[in-house]
Amino acid sequence: MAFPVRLALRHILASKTRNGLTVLAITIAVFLLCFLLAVVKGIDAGVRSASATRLVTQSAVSLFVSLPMSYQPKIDAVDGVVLSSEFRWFGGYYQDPSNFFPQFAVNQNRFLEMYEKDIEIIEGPDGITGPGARAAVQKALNSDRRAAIIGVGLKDEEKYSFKVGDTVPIVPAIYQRADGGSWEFIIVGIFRPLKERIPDKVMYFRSDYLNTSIESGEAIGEIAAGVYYINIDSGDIGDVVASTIDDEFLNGPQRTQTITEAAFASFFVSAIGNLPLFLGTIGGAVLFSIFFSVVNAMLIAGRQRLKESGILQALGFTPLTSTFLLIFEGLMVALIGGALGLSLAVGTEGLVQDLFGANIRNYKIDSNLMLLALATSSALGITAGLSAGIPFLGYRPTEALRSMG
Amino acid sequence: MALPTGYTTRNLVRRRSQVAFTALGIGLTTAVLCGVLSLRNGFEQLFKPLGADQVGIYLRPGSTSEGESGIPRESARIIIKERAEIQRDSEGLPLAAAECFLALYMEKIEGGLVNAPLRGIEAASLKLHPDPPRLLEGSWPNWDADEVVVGRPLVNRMKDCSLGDTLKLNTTPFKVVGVYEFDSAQGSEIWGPVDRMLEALDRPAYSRVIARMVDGVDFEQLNEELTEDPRLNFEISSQSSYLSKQTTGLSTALLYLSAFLTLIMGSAAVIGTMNTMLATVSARNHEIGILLAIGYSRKEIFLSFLLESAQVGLIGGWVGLGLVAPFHGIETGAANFNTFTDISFSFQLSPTIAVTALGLSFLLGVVGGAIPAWVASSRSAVDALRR
Repeated sequence: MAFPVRLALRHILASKTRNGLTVLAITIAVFLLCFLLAVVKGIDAGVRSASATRLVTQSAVSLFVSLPMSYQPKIDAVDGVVLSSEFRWFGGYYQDPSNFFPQFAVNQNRFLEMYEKDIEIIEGPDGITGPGARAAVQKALNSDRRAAIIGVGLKDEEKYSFKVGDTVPIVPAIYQRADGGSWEFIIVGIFRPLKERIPDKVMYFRSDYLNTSIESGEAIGEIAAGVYYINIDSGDIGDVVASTIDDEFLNGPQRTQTITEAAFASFFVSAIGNLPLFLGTIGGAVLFSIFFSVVNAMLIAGRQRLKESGILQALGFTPLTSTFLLIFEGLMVALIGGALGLSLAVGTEGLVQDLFGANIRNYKIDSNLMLLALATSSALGITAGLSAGIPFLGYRPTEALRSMG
Repeated sequence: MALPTGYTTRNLVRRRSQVAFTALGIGLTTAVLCGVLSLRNGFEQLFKPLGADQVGIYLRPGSTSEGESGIPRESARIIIKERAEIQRDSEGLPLAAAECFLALYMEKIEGGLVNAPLRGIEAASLKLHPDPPRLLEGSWPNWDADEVVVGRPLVNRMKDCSLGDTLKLNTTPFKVVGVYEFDSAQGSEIWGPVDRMLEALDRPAYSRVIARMVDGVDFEQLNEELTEDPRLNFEISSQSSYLSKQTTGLSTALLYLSAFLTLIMGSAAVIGTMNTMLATVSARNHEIGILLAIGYSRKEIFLSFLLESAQVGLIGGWVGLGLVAPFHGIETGAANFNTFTDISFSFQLSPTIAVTALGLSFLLGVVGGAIPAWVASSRSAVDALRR
């Protein structure tokens, strides 16, 4: 006999409370799963967006040890190096330590050349936008040593709301000024990152502003380059270039370690701890606990359907039909819950980005994640239906009819 | 009439597979809450060393952690020699030390780089803490030699950190001569003579001065005195207030995480409980009718079903504790956000956490059972008996 489709649909609505609650549980689980996976993927996105033709030369001792400025010409002279640019961590904050965003001291011209394809200058002085903005910003950067450019996030976020032309005071945590005051930077351009690796709440300013201030005694600190980013001819020669550079400085004054941009980015991820494993474990526990509650709900359904299974068999259906009915019910309930959970995750995507944007970067529910969510909920539903439906195969119609339900 | 409690408990045994599934749902929620809170507890424990109020830390003003601070050598010596608030030992020597701090690239044994904390210390560093570090193996470093001691948790986590190994700092090799244990955030560091380290690392300045204070010092007043001395540019704080600022990042993150997960997993567990209890109620319709007929009040029926659900919750709570208990004491590492260095800490399941978890599981049972119990108690005796 054919599969009783109408009966199957009726079953779903037969116990509205139970199935409604199960749908809700799955909605929550799928939402949480999507959230956790999107966080983990967002972390990875930064690493994956690293350039294949870029290396980072840093101190072999510590992230917090700066390389000397004198290394730059030696690095530039290595075969295969196209361009190197220094990046020095400034580590100050705006008004209050809680208003923290990264600031880097860079050589403005080398930086703009290196990041030509990594950032898009979207606004320059006097309201200039579009293709001409880049040249205008470069000119402005070169005309005032206090000039700086910022990521668009510092313009958009309300507590900063920095605009082109603003003078922004930054309180130093490392490079104290002799007068005990703040450093002042003048915003001359706003950019949008084109790579996930680059945050949008970040400031780049001229390293010679820092260096000349230290030289003249206006500020305290050491004059150094931080780390060097290096563009190379092709990704294939990365290993050779890296070991040539490291050999050059093997005997100091600072030993170097040259790694790919991807390795550099992934270090920052792994240094925080094994976050993917941690979040994965939690996701697994959630899924596991929801799985139990769905199986439980289907077992309850199965127990109530035993008598009905007897009737179906008496009418000439096979016991398998009852099993399939339960699988169908489990699958539908799980899919409805999965779809709702997914919609919730997609619907709150913007909210999560707004609320946690500073801590959870590149949060995005993409199509892979959607597929995974639906596949997981289907698997959940089918397994639950199976575990409740398989016992039916063992009952004879008379036994089933005799059951109390 | 008394509550039919025996009846409730027997019912749990009778429907054991459903009860088990429901309890597991609640148990996993409890386990996750417990796990995250135990991690947070283990982390926070490190930042509450004994007698931290009696120890003062001098940093450069404006720096939020010693990683950012820098102190010229001469002014560190002035502080140690001249300040009256620093306690002296029996020989009249100040219990104060200049230290340097650096996050060092280290390789983990299982592979991968981490930022390990490296500290240059002086002889007084080992004596000034009320609960001082203990030597487990080997010896303390010779103050004129390129020698280091490592914190116990590092031995099993990092390469080149066993007794007799050689650790290369920039271009200078240092020998690992000892393993120490220290119940504080400084328990998983690498320590060596401060001046040897500054030389090897080509660093110009100390990071901080740490000193045992004489009794009854007033840190606010000390700060005023320090600003008046033109030779000195320092800010002093008690070690406890310094440390409390260092924990906030990770600690708050874990607290929020546990709240968020409890909320979400808890709702799912409540739903599971509700399903089970609704099924129980509907299967026992007839019995409810009998209970009503023999004189039990609606309130008693409500309470008996609520009690049953709460029992399921508590069973789940114990299951959850059972799942987490094996992790107690297991050591792990994570970055201390404030200095960006790796710090070793362990899951520390405490009585408070266990009680919190059991309380939560009880609550989940009660919340999940409330509606089904109300459904049960609002049946009319005649309708219930007719089924």
